[in-house]
Amino acid sequence: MLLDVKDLRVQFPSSRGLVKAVNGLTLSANKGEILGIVGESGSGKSMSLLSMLRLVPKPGEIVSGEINFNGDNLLKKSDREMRMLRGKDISMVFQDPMTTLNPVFPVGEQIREALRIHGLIKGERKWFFSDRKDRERERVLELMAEVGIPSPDLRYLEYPHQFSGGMQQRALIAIALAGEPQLLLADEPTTALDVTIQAQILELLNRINEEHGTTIILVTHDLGVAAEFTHRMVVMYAGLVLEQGPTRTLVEEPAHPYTQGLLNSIPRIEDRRKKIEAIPGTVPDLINMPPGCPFHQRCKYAKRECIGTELEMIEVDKGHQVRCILYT
Amino acid sequence: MTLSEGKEILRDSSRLWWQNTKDFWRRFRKHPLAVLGLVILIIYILMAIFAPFIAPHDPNKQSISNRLLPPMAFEGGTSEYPLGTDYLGRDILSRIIYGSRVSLLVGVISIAISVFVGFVLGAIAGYYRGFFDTVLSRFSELLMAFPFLIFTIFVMAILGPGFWNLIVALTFKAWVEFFRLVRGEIMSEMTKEYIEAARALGRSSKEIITLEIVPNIFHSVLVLATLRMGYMIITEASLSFLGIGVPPRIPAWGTMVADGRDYILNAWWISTLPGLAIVILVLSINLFGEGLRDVLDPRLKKD
Repeated sequence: MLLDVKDLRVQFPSSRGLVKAVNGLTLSANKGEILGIVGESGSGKSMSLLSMLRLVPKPGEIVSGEINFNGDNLLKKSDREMRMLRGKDISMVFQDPMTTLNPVFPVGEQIREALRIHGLIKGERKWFFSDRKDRERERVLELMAEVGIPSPDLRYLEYPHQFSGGMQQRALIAIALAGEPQLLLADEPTTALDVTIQAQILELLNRINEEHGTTIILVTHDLGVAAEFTHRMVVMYAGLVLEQGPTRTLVEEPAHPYTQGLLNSIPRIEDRRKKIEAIPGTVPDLINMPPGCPFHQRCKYAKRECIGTELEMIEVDKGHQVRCILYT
Repeated sequence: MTLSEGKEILRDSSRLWWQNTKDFWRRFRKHPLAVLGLVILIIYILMAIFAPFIAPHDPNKQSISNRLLPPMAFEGGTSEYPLGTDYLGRDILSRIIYGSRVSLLVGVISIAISVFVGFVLGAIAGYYRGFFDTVLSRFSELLMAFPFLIFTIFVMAILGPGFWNLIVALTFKAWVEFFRLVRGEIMSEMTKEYIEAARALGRSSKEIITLEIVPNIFHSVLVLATLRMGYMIITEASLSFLGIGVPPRIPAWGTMVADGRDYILNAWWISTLPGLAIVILVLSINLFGEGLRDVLDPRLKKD
């Protein structure tokens, strides 16, 4: 197991009280798999991802839990050790490629910087000069070609604003790949892109996963994307995992009423007569969480017992777990 | 750029630098007024550096027989004193040439110190916030509450005239503007995603400030610096005019304007010509600064 998160809690102090963004998250990712984290806005999926790099923005903090990466608890590492890990063993791809690239540097140089930070390419001395820079440039051109940026020679010196959204995201993936990471965290990498470009970027991530065996954690609110590109899926709600299992099982036989609701709310082109069923209500207030199942206020199967009892994950099938009173 | 050219440039780092410089110049050339400003500025700088070789006379040499001579284009002027002489018979042209040294040095040094202090303190305050930021911000607001000229007069009155005292008086308040600019810019850059991305790549806070944020805000600091430099030169001239700037034995434009005050009706050139020198210098600096702003802003870069 590459990544094993146990009972992770992230909280933000606010003037109204503690915002419990992540509320006892437990999940794991195996080597070489694509794990999808799905959920509505505010379900804590992005925060979970950021906490895996220990980059929770201030004033938020990780209050408890364990994040084991290759058997080491990341929460016990020093800041320096964490810096060595970021961009090398664990990389991240962000949501909005336009603002994620630094506007004042050529794209190629930014990719080269990712190599330089961790000193990944060693140079040889020729006379007084090291040829490290040239070797790094060669590697950058390789990376740019690998992520599908056409004629990298020409585009190396171009600035981010000269790239289209899809090309910017490819450049960011090249930056993330520079360190040949074992784990790639992708935070809604396709949300800011056109649908056609979306498919290309996901295809690219898929290829990286197959060719390099890179484990990918893909956070998305698009269940369709998750269903198509992930091996396993985790459904998050109010900072908690409600259901997890192989993607196929989850899509075909969703156990939790919330997952069922999510799947029913996807419009289907082949069946026009069927009405899209939206889940009534909104995500609960993260400051005053309802006791018991966080979904009970919106659940059509809710019983009185749902309110008081804190449930553990229940195994309904091999590798398929659900947190719901219906399965006790 | 063709494919092979692109490859060439990548092979050789010095070519990359050269390419950027050429790019800069190509965009700068599109602002004719800025180019004019730069040319005049360069003339002034050369004049200041080579003053002893260009000046026809010793700027302090008095010649009673040649008092109040008009410039050579006017009746009674001689080619020996092209811009005339003052009431002590000193050559105006030589004094203007030497005076450029004081103005440029005061402008450059006071701005350099102000930028440095403002940049460092502003970066720390904007990045780390907290108590340090609160104290500095309140202090800077206090300094902002005083009018610039009155404040420098006050400081000069305490320190007494002198070149370095003048620099101290000018920077005492000027750094505040750079502090506020840098602090604000850093705070706004901090909200951008590329900071988070840099952190996710394993960069430390120090690297994020110096390697990621500073290149993004440097152009606005540079533009403010050039514009403020003109103001520093004017303030120096004002202080010298009032007699509390550089010591009277050093030729300075402000002192010269003051010298001609009593003769303005029958020997207008004593005050007017150094005044003109100040106006042209400050104007050219401002024109150059404006052009620099358009060229350096990376968000305005277009092909």
